[in-house]
Amino acid sequence: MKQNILLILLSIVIWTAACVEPFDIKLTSKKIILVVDGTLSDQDEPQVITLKKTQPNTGYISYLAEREAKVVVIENGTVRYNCVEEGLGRYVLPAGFKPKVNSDYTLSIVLKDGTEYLSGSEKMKPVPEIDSLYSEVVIGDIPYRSSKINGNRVYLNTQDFKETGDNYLWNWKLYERQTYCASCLEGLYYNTPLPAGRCVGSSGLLGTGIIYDYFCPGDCWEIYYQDYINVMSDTYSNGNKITGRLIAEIPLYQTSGALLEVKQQSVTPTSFRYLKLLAEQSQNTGSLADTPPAALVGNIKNIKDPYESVGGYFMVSSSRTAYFWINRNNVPGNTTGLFGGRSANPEPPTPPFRPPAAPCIKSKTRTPDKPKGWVDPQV
Amino acid sequence: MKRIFIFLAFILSTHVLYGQTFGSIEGTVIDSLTRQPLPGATINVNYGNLSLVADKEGKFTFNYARKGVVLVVRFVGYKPYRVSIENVEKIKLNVVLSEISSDLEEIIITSKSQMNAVKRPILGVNSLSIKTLNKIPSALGEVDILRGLQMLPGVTSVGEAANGVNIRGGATDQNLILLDDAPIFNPTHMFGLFSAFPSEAVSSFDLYKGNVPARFGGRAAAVLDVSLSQPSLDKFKMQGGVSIVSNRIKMDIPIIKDRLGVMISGRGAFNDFLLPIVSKKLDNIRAKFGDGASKIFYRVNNKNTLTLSSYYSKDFFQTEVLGTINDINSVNTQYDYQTINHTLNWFYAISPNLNLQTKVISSHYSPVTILPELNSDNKVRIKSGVKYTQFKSNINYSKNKHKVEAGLDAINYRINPGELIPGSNTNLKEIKTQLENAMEFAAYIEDEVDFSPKFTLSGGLRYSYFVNLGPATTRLYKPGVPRDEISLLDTLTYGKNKVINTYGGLEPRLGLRYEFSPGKSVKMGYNLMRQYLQVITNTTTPLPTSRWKTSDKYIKPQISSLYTIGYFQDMKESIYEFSVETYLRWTKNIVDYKPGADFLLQQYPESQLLQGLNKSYGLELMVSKKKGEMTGWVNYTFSRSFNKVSEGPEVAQQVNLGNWYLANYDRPHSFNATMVLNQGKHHDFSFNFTYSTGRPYTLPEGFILYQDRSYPFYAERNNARIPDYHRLDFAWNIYNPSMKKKRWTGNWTFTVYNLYGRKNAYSVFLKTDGTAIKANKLTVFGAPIVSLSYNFKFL
Repeated sequence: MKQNILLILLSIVIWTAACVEPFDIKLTSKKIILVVDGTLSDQDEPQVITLKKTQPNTGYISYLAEREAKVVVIENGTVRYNCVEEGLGRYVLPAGFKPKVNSDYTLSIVLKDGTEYLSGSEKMKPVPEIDSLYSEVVIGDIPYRSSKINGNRVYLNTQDFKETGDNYLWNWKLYERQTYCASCLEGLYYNTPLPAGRCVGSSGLLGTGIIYDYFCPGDCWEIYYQDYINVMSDTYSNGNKITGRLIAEIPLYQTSGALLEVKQQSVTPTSFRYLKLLAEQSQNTGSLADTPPAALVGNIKNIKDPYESVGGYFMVSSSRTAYFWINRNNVPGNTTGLFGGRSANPEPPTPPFRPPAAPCIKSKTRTPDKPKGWVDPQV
Repeated sequence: MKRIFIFLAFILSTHVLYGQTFGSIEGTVIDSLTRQPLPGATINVNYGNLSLVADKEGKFTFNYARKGVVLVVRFVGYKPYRVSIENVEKIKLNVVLSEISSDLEEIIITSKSQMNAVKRPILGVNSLSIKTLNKIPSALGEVDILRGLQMLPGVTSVGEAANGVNIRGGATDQNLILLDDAPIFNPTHMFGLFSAFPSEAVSSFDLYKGNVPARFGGRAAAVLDVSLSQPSLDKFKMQGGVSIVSNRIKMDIPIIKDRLGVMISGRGAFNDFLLPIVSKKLDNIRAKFGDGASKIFYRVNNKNTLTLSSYYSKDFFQTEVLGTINDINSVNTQYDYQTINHTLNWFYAISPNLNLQTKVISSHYSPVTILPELNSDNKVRIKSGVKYTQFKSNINYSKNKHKVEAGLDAINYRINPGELIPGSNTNLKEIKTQLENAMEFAAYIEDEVDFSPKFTLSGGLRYSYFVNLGPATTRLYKPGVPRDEISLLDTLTYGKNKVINTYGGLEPRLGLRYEFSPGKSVKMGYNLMRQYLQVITNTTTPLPTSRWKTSDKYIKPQISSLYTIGYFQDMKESIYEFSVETYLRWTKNIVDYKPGADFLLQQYPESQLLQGLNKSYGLELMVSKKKGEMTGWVNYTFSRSFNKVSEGPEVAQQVNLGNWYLANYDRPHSFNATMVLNQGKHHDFSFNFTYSTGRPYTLPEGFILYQDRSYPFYAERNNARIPDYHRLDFAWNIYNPSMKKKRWTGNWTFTVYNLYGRKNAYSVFLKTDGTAIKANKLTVFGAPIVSLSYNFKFL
């Protein structure tokens, strides 16, 4: 065998083999498609239905908000909740509206031009609590910007209901302590005008590619979101515990701990099939035996033209949230930081005024409010 | 193709004719291709005045009256050789016999026949022998029948990792693949990279892509009939080799001289530790495979022989590139699959013109998906399997202008569609799907008639009958609407061996040849085939674990009708052959799938699939050079394959809104060229060039939003094409470099696959990357792959 190995090693020269590389093609919509993005949930949060239309042949992926539509959610075929247009194609259900478990909901849309759409009826199914979340330390196998690094995998256990046909959807948010609240490329930060301040180009920095980062004056958290679909049905585990479900792969951003908020949602069997297909066609592609993409048939139809392609799905979902503290004491290796692999680079101090602090402005990806479940370091 | 082992007993009679002048004739009868002697060949002198039998070295000798003599040399399965000799004192004859097919079969590749295309009473002739296959370049030094086939017209695949080939617009599961008559359900190792046939042990292979003989049935498109080599009965022989992929060995062991012998062969590939060297992306891949074949031949007496062929194949494959089982939590996915086949063949020569063959065949294919669990030694398993048992008997009769074959065939299919075995995991349910039990019966007769030297007709008729048997529970759905939980009306239960459902029908096979002038002929063929067993999978190429499914109440048999016409011409004393063929195939009840179809452990797969129509047509041109320092062929194929699936007016009953769409393997243009430069006894060079239009894939019609992220929105199926494929390969074979005549000889093969390193796309796909969506190209062999393999023979 030794001889064989030697022979093989001597006799072969292989530079590369299987590989994936970008394929040059313009991704753009070919026609106008109404896109509905609406999931009603029993959480204390605004219930929003978004209506947009794809813009065809722009050379990139773009949407146009669909304005002045009449959007109504119908409960059990009788009670109607009119949505109020909020702008940018967002239609918000009345404050205090929460879908109820075991109730049926239908979405009715009448566009400005009079085209009518109606969704299939969706029954909100209950969802069990998350039993536990736990993590393992992973060395060199957590995906991060086309490479693999050290970090944590977080898993979930839950107890499935006895009834068959339970389907789960998981989503997470990650809170990381943020120390720097503004960054300026080839320029300096000024904290006026309020509230966010601005970067002003500096002739001395022009063309250098230097980025300066500016401290936050107080608490601030960076928020990361799950960017893939994680669904599962109880087909093989009905009524038993679901254990070891992989929820998140978190890179070693910083040495300090981070908070993971995990939302477990119930979805109907039809929604589950839709989400699974959505995931198969966009996340699980690139294998040697892909499933050729198939038409994604949602549950919203043009009343007069059932063959019209309508994108999106109207879902109702019950959800439960749990929090998990990722303690990184035992994760070895270098951190990537919160700037996409770039090390923080504070502007060199020039007393008494520079550098100024930058405020932590609340947004989808940043908050000054301490998240529920956050663990402050022991002093 | 048939393996015929016949040993004829003749009484040597001598006729001494006084008063005449005599000459002597010495002859040797050999096989045209292997150049091996044909012991037992009969030599008929002057139409029966004298009969001789060639000895074990294929030799014969006799004296004759010098006024003239006519010899006819025959051997069963070979074309007779006729010669007239006059007034020669002493002559040495070298009688070269070519094997023939017993019907108007379209053998596009045969290792046995070197007859030219015009003369051969079959439709479409391109010959490729195992010997040629050994000479032409192969990927990673592994001689591969399936890749060799793809150098010929009408044979394509979805790409380099395809788990099978597509022949004249057929799906991979529409090909019946036989190894010594036993079916091979998964023809590849390492997920499509290498074919499952042990090249050392294979003696011949024939591909029937046009007229399929009536003795074959059960698949809609083509038949690949591979034969294991016959053991040597007089001498121990050994051969083998080492390549980057595998180590191979084959031995011929005579046990009782001239009566009993065994051939055993084995191949093992355990070099997966090299994969991370090849590419870091292959770091998590574990791939091992092995196969073994054996053949025991026993000559009971001069009229009876028994042969037992066995084949075993095993693969273990761990990878992330094949996806995983979404609803079962595991740390990775492993595939473990094996095939165990046996064929027992009793051959009985009733008379020189009549023989009977009876075979008992079994094939057991059992794939397992293994899912190791987190922080546990437990492995969840999903097992499935196909058990195939066949009894067949056929009688061959050959006299004057007729060559008749008739037979009976009975097959039992027992399929385990899937079984979830949780092991020590008490949270997962043990799931068993309903076992399938079905029988397929067939009776056939076929006659090839030589009406004149110019006109040959082959007519065959097969009747097949299929029956599903209990125990089973079937569903009754409301007619005319999609089959699902909503349309479910009732369930019906059937007891053991109760008939659930039957199908059947005639399968006519017809072929004509007319040689309108020497060296020029026209041939026509018509074929109807019925397929009762199929793979149901919605992936571009079947996974090793894909589910096999018999026809049932809802899944109707696939029925294919093929019309072919061709023109064949010899040029320059048969050095060149030219052929052009065109075909049209209609296949009813092809299987396609509802969006999001899932067959894993699915109790009622009819709710996931749809059936429709396939239309395929093509034109195949081929020129080959058979003799000389340079040999090879060039071919061009224009072919199209379209599907249409519309079971009803609802969207859920249609694929592509009920409109025609391109089949996944539709590649309109393909061009192949193979050239072998024979440089004497000690080395040769060869080149392969192949080009084909890129296969179709689906581009989205638009993009939709879900939770503020864009996702592709697909509508029309297969509306774009991946880039065209082309590749050049090179091989240099060095034979016996020591140049000494010894029992042990070693050969080296140096191969460069994909010489100019084109990054051919295997697939183009869209994938989300964070919040963005990107188009990517997957390449399987994206660089020149250099390999050196060593083969030896001990004869």
